[in-house]
Amino acid sequence: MIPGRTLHRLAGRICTTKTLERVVEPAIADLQKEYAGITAAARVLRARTLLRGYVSLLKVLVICALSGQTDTEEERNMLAQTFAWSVVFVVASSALLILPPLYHWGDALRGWYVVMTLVPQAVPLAIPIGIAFGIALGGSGRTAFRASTALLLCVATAASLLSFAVLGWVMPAGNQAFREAAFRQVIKPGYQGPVTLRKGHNEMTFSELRREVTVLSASDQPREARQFSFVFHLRFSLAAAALALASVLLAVGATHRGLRASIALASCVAYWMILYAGEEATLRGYLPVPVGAWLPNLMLMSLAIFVSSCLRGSSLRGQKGVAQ
Amino acid sequence: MDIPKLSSTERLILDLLSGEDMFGLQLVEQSNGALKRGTVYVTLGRMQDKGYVESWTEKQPAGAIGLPRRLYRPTAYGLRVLAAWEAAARAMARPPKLRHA
Repeated sequence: MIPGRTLHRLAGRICTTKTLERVVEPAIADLQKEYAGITAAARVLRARTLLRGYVSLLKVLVICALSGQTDTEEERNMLAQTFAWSVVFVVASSALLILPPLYHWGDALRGWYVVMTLVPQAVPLAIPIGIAFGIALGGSGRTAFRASTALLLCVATAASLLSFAVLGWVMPAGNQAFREAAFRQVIKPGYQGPVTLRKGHNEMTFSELRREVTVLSASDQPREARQFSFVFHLRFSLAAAALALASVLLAVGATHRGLRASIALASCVAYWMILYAGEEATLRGYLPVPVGAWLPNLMLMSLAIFVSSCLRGSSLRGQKGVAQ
Repeated sequence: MDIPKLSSTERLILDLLSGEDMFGLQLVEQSNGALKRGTVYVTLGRMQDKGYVESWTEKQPAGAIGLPRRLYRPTAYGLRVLAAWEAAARAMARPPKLRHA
């Protein structure tokens, strides 16, 4: 087996011929030569070489993809700033969301393991906030901001996919681990035996949620069934929050950074308010569950389309050729 | 006349290449960690665009598998730019002579 063939094909699709020849192929050739130079018996060394080679190859491909999407230095700077601000806001928001439960449990619940189990709960909420403020604070030039709309939407989509993965698989496991840690440290300190706690809706996987909805519906518990069904749909809708918030910011396309930050803040607050309103309306039976869960996304996306059509050529988007 | 721009990484690469032609991975190994595998070819590609280095693929023996590696060497222009930068660096490093009254 020759390593790097699949990546070579992938690179052929996303890179220019020049980039492929000058940047990607030499990196793949290095990996192949290094791999071939190690005897089959040295499995650990081979695995390490492969890992190191693939990591550097992926780095090369990301650089190529970004350089292919960004034409100017201004756009590249804007993208780097967007990424940096997004990371800052995701970390800060996660920290703020993690602190209340830690504070609530006081000294009874401490340690890095507990903090790590709380991170998956905070990250899906922090990602949309991070993306919104990253886009708001990242760009400064009108041309770069407008020209990179498609790229920023791709970034928001990638963030949404990451958020979905965390919401769907990591968060339920993290929640359950946190509850077990709390049981061992607070309810029964010093207990080392196995812990079996009944899962709540936030600890269930997609299939478990669906099963619970069926059971509750069959046992004539409509409100509880709606609650579990809402959580099921919320996992999808919350993952799309980053895309919805990014759409609003990009639709307004304001050139002034302060204005964009204000819009980001207002959009985040509006999102959570609509989400809670949607949840209440769903649990009371006023709205179908999918509509209630997707309400904030639907409203923000509609707003983005409306604003985009209204503000075409507006002064809010700045004068042509003027960079702020 | 302005001296063409030369980053510290580009200077290091030209410096390493001034001794002998090298593959990208050899440059990484000889830079003592200053050059990274993930970015060395991006930098070399940019230097090629600027005309500082030239490259060609190695001749593979018959029956060899995998892609051929790329060899690099500095162009005459690249070496002139490096020499100009080194001269400028030496001039800047020289302490000013103080005149005594």
